[in-house]
Formats: sequence, structure tokens, C-alpha cells
Amino acid sequence: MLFKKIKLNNFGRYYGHNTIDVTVTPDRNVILVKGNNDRGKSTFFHAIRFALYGENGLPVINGQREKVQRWINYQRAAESDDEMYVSILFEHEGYEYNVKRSIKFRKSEKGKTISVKGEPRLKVTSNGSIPNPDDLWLDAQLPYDVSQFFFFDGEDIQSYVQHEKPAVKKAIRKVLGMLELDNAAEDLENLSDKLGAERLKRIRESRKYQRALNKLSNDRKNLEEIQNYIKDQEIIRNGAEREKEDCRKMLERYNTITEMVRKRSQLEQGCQNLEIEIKENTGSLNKMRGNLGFILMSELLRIITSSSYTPHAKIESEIAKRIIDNKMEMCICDRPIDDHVRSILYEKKSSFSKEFEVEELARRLYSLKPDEKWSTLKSELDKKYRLEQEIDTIKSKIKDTSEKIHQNKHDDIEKLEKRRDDAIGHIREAELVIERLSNQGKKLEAQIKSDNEKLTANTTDVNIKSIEDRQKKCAIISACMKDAADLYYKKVKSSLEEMVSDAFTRLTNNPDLYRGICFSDDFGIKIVRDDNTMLPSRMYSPSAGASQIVAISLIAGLNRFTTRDAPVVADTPAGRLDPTHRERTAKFYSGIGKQVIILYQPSELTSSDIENIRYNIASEWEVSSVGEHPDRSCFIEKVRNV
Amino acid sequence: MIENRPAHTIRTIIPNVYDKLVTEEELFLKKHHLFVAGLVYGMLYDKQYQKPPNSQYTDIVKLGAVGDKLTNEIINLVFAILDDRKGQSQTWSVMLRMADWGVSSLDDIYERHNNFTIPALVKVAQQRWPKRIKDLGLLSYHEP
Repeated sequence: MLFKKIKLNNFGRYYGHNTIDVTVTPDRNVILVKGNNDRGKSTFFHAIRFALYGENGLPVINGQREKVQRWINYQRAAESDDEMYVSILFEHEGYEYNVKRSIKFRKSEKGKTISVKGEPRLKVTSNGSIPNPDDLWLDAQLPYDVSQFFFFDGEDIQSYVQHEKPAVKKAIRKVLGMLELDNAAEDLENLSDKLGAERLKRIRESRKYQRALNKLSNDRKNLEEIQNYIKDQEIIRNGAEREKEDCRKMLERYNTITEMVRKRSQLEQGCQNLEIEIKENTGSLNKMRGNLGFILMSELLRIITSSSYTPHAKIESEIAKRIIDNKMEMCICDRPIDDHVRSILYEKKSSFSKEFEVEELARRLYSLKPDEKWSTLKSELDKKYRLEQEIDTIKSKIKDTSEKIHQNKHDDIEKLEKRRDDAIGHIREAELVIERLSNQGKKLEAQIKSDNEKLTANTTDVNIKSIEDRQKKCAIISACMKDAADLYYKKVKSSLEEMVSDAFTRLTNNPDLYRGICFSDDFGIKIVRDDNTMLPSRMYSPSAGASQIVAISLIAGLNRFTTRDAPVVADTPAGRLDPTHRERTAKFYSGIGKQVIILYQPSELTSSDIENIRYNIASEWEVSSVGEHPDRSCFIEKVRNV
Repeated sequence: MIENRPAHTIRTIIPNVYDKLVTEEELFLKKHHLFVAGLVYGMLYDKQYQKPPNSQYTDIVKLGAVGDKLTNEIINLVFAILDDRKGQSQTWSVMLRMADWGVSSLDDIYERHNNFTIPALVKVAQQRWPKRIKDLGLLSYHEP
């Protein structure tokens, strides 16, 4: 990986587009970027790290990683919405790649936190193929952990050796290519731990299994008890149902009887009414029976009044009456009236008188209309017969009803109702109990079924044994991996020590005092004195500069050792070195990588230092501020040899 | 016509029957109503109650005291029919016996049927009168 162009847009102090061409050749592999303090060298350094590692590449201040908003150009943000990005064009394994990491921001008042839209976005374009996702691919090219040996701040690197940082040790292992083995061993250990946990879990499950078996047995007993109890309750309920039904029938019969009694009352009322009517009818009949004689002689009267006595007899009688009354001597037929004739005349006269009287009396009586009286009487008699029949019928019905009522004697209704209500209460209670128990039973049954299935499917013992076997295998393989890693480390350690020692003896002011640098088994760095005594690097010297020498040696050794072609970007390379060390370091830097970008301040490298590496310089740049504006840094190319 | 009508008294030999049918059973409002019914019934059958020896008549009411016009008219008609102009007392005695026979017969019917069976009586009367009217000497009358 060799950088060709780096473009900063609204990143930190860099307002708008600022591009720096960092192309190198095998002969001219050094890029010098000069800048006074607070001009933007470190900003450029962090821009590279941001482009490659996103926010992880931003510096850590007081233990906290800085937010991307902090690195947006304030001037630009004060003017309008825009985009901040850093793009790096680089060449890698014959292909060109362009890495662009960007984030859009909103116009913000100066001095206030800048508002951004979402998270920083990474876009990798290439004329070759790029496997996705981009972040992983990019990390694979130059892992973040390793990057600290390629992109470093000269003022910070002494901490690599002053403190035995695990991250540094890890990075060293990674550079050596041991991390894969470590990872594999770690994965196996993790797997072993997981298997151990699984084993413990299974053992606990096994105990649980036994407990579950016991529980299942108890549950089955409980279920049986519940089912028996349900049966008992069903018997109680059925008994109560029968009792309720009996009561219902009796009450129904009672209702029938009540209905019959009501009907009988109605009949009795009807009977009473009829009796009143009969009484009235009897009174009426008693009156009308007074006409009985009259009615009986009705036919006689009809015959008398509808007949007429003989006119001849009447004439004879009239004539006889006149002859007698006038004391006539001679009859109208000129016959002398003797005693014989006189007696005949008297008889004629008498006969007429009686019949006339009877007729008159009969006529008067008949005018009183015996037929009408008979009709009235007959009507009342008919009524009487009808009433008598009706009352007989009603009485018969009353008698029948009374007999039925008598036959259907019933228990006391209140007792019946109480019995029925009690039965209903028992039914309800039993049904509630049955329902509750049924639910319990169903749940228990389901639980038993589930537990049974679980228990049947459980092959805990076999699993535990299998897990134990696997765990043992993991431990063996892991141990083998570690052994392999140790073997590998022992194999490569001497080469690495040689390279680091070489760098160290070239950089130190007193090469005669030291033999070099060696590594302990746990990657602790030790300084080897001439008398073969070994000092841990942290005890080598309290001086930051001395530590920086060891750190640079380590970086150089690792860079040489690794097969990775990555640029070295050194910010403040001389740091706290004395002039002698600075001179050595300047020379040394040009040889530690295929591309070395040195971000220095004028006091760090003298012209003679630069002159010493003149033929290695590809281009020289200066970081400046337009009008000394704090947010207007830019790159100015001073020298270009490529 | 009964000429000394007010002096005549409705009497009976069977007062107990009157008491039973009128006073106790209340089948007639007044005793003279039962008397008239018995009279007509007796005349219809031309029967007279045979007075037992030592039996006494019991007065019911004097004719003059009967305010019922119909009763009087019937008694007058029966009297006119039965009267043979030989003596009113004799005719009245016949009427009393006929009435007792009739009352006694009605009582028998009532005893037997708990009823006077009036429709049957009327029917019998309708059948008997045409023949009976001839027996009574009312020969001038005939069916139209």
C-alpha cells in the first residue's frame, strides 16, 4: 500500500479542498511536510487515520475518543451546509484504490457543536475488485492494531516501551503473524469455556432432570387425584341434577294443580252465578206457575173462542126468550104454546144463556193470551233445564277437578323450592369445582406431556460425556496451538530481535554500551547491555527521548520484519530527541519503509538533516494558514523531485 | 157466574199438600194459584177427590179476598161450565173436590219427577180438551 494523493475537504483546519500529492518512487520514498505549531500537521496525520479507520482513527483525549463533529472545519460550517471528507488514493498490489470517508454537516454558529447528518460513510472505489464490506477489507489491508507502528506521533511512541501496554504486545504479535494462531487458540479456549459452561449447564440440567422426573411422578399422582376428585364432583353434580329434575317435576305438578284449583274456583264461581240465575229463574217460575191453570185451559179457551155456537140455536133461544118474556099465546109458527112447547122454549132460552156466558168468559180469558204466558213459562222452564244441565256439568267438572286435586296432593311448595334451590347450589358448586379442577388437570396434563417429551428427548448423560470429550479436545488443540505459536515465536524472535537491535544500535548515541534489544516470552522489551545484562525497557532510562529511541527501533524492526507494504507517517518525528539522535533518526526514517511521510516542525529537522536525506526526498510540502486564519490551513508544495 | 162469590171460600181437604208445595217448596206464590191449577187439571180429567170419612176442609182464602183477576176469571169460567143451574153450593163443592184431585195429582207428579213436567201436562191438556169439551155439555162448540 503506497499513498498517492490525499485530499482533505473541510477537515479540521483545512477549509474546502486541499490535496497533497504524496507519490514516491523506490529511490525517493520520503515526503517531508513542514509546518509550525498549530498549522495543521497533526490534523493531516489524524485525517489519514480518519480516512482509514473512521472515528477510531481520531485521537483519544482524556480517555475518550473524540467525536467527528470536533474535526469539521468551523469556518465552513459557519458559512453553509457542506460535506467533510478525507480521501486517499493509493496503490496496492498493482491496483489503484480510492478510500473516501465523509460526513455531511449542517450550517452551525461558530463555537457551537456542529450538527451532522448520520454517521461517517466509507466509500472505496478501485480498478480492481473490492470484497464487501469495505471496512473489513480496509482493516485487513492494514489492521488498526498494527497501524500504530506505521502512523505514529513521535512524542507518543515512547509510551510503547515505557509501559508494557497489552495493545502494543498484541500489535507486535499481530505484526509477527501470530495473532491468527492466537485467535485460533483463543477461539478454542472460548469454545472450551463454552463447552465447559454447556457441560455445567447439562450437569445442572441432569440434576434438574432427576428433579423433573420426581416432579413428573408427583404430577401424575396429583393428576390422578384431581381426576378422581372430578369424578366425585360429577357424581355429586349428577345427584343434584336428579334432585333438581324431581323438584322441577313436582313443582310442575304443583303448577298443574294450582291451575286446576284456579279452574275449579272459576267453575265454582260459574256455579255460583248459575245458582243465582237458577234462584232468579225459580222465583220467576214460581210466579209463572200461578198461570199453570190458565195455561192448561188454553186449548179449551181456544176451542171455545175459535168456535161459534149454532146461529140457529141462538135464534131459537132468542125467539124462545121473547115468547116467554112477552108471554105470547101463539108461537111464530102459529102453533099454540102449551106446556110442552113452553118447557121446550124454556130449555131453548136456558141453553142459550149458559153457552153465551161461557163464551163471554172464555173470550175475556183468552184475550189475556194464555199462549204468551205459556211461551214465557216455557222459556223460563227451558232456561231452568238449561241452567240445571249447566250446573250439573259444572258440578261434575268441579267434582272431577276436586278429585284430581285430591289425587295430586303435593309436598309443601316452599320445601320443594328449597330443595330445588339447594340442588341448583350444589350443581353450581360442583361445576365450579369441576371447571377449576379440569383447568388444573389440563394444565397439569400439558405440563406432564411437555415434561415427558423433554425428558424423553433428553440424553443428558450422553451429551455431558460428548461435551466433556469435545472440551478435552479443545484444550489439547488449544495447547497445541499455543505450543505452535511459541515455536513460531522462538523461530522468528531472533530475527525480530536482530532487526530491532540493528535499528537501536544505529540510533543510539552509545552503541558500544548496548548489544541490542531482546524480547521476553511475553513480548516484554528488554535492553541488552554490553555485559549481557538485560533491563526491561521501562527501566532503561527515565528519559522520554531514550524511550523514543527504543520505540523507533521497535517500529523500524517491526516494519522491516513485516511483509506489509504500508506507508509510515511520523508526526513530530524527532519529538524530544537531542540533536545527535535527531540527526540519526532523520537518516534512519528514510529507510524504515517504502513510503515515509514525515510531518515536522522547523526546529525538528535542520537543513543539514534534510540534506542528509536529500536524495530520498520525493517532495517537500509546507502547511500554512491563509492569512494566519486558524481555519484556513492549506498545503503548499515547495519541492518536487518526482 | 158465582152470584154469592164473596161468600165462597177456597178450601181443601189436603192442606198439607198446599203447605208443602207453596209454603215449603215455594213452587207457587199463593195457594189460590195452586188451587186454580188443581181445579183446571181436575176438570180436564173430570175427577174429584174422594173425601175420606171424618176429614175436614181447611180454608185457604175467601174468593172475595183474592185480588188476582185471572184467578177469579178462571174460577168463574169453570163455575159457568160446570154449573147445571141446580145449586151453586153443589157446583162449588164439585169444584173444591176437583181442585183437590188436581192438586193431589200434581203433587204425585212432583213427587215422582221432582218436577211438575209442565210441558207434558200442557201437551196432555191440548190433546184431552177437544173430547172433554163435549163431555162437559158444551155441545155447541166444535172444532172449526
